[in-house]
Amino acid sequence: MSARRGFAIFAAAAALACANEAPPSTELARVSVEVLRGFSPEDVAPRENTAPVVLLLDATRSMLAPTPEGLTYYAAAQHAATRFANDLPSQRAMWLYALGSSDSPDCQPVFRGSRAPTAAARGPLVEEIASVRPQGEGGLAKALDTVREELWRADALMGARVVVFSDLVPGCGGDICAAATKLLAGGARLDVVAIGEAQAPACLREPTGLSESLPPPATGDRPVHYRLEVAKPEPMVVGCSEAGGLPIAAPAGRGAVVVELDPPLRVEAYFAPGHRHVLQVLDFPALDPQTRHWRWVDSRPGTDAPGSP
Amino acid sequence: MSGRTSAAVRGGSARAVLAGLALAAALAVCATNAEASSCDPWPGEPKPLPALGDSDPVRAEWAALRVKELTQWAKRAEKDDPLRARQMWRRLLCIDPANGEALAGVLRARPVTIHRPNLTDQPVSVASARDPWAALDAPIGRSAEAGSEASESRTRSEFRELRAAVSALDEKVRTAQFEQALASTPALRARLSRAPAGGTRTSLIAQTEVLAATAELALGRTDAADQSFKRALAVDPALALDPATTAPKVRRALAAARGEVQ
Repeated sequence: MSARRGFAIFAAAAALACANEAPPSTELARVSVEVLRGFSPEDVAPRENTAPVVLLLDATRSMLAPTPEGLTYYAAAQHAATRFANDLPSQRAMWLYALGSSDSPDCQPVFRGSRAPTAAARGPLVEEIASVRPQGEGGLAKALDTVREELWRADALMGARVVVFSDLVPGCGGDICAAATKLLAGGARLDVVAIGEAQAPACLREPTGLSESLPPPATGDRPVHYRLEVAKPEPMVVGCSEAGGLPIAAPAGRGAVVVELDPPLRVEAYFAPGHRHVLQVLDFPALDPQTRHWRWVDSRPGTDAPGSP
Repeated sequence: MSGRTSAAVRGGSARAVLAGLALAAALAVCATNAEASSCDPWPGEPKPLPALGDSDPVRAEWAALRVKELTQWAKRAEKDDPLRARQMWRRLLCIDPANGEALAGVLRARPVTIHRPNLTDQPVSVASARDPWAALDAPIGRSAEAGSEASESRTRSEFRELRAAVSALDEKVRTAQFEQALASTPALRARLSRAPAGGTRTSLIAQTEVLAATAELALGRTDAADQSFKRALAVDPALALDPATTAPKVRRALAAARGEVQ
């Protein structure tokens, strides 16, 4: 049986035990628990990234300009894209997009090319890179928007990596900074392979140029329950509640609070009649080293009793 | 010290001062951004978000532990997931706005990378890079593509055939012909070992070993599957399998081969 399942059964048994009634008593204490948590190990565990790598090849007419070295910017971009597609050894999917590859004289939408689900299936994609020819015009900003939308529709935006091969000569307008910001906000990364001398926009060059706003990491924000046990006059569960919720009325005397953390925390204490006892717990199971501190706060001054397991 | 040396030193100092000022300005922008960005509590965090100097000792201690936790996560994520790393550094600045390590971390973990490869008319080696992302900055040579047209054509043809062989192996595994798949694997391995070095060969080897491991798992040969996965990981340590198309049993076996599961 796994530890998690065992813990679940233990928690269920404890919940059933909570069906017990509190013993009649005129001298009651009130006991409550506050838990301040860190991340759980599941929250911080690295996730396998299978989102695609997207190659966006700028095949607009400016790429046909010759470089001083004798090849065209486009040939250089094509060569870099082919080398990268061949060299990336991961099993990640690869998608190809080309901008300006149709012969329409107007600003064109980006053309969606081959998609290879695994590295071994990249053959057609590599051949398509070799076959794309610059003929028309198109805007990089709009192309990035289209790529982002298609990644989002395929539920593959988070973790995707978009690689743009371009001379960065602006054409057909559009706000590349806004397009990049939206891409990053969806959890994708952007690599720009700048062919030639044109400067990349400052928003892409500067480390604080884009105000990306990734959503908070998914965390297991489940409530923490606790129960109050006494040994006398007979062992019983006096009551159950939720951390941060209502206190449990406890008979005066010795008892124990069991907080359903993983692993559970059991703290014994003396409950004084008419007093309010609060168990404050700090639990950081994902911290290295794993850390858990607790302390009692009593309504009477001078009775704080810090502790740790 | 000669006048020229002295001037050079003064120039160097001036550059250092300027660089320092630029960094300080960037950090200031960073801090401002951090303050301007939302510091509302995330799910599971205390409300309001505690700060290091919180008057409540428990909340202050939570803040101190959270700073450690965020630092650890940010450092782990910096290489493979800089967006997440930046988010953790920025979060840390909500709790401890003067934290220099977090300010530097925000600058270091960049979600946008500009690569600027040099163009050259000299031949450029086509040897496979260990990090293809870093290789996006590698020079692009004219001769590399024009100089050996015939050789490149042969290589393309060879890889086309190898890809077809791997696809055939994939088809056998998909149609549950596991014994036949495993029977064809040794010959394919031998062909791949003779193929030109590079990322394509590496990818095909990894793919072949994953398919072999899948067939071996289906036949209950867990030790052989573990060896196949280890061969795949040897050529591609970052090997990841798509959860949408890969059985959990196969993914678990890969994790075990990687040493993530005891």
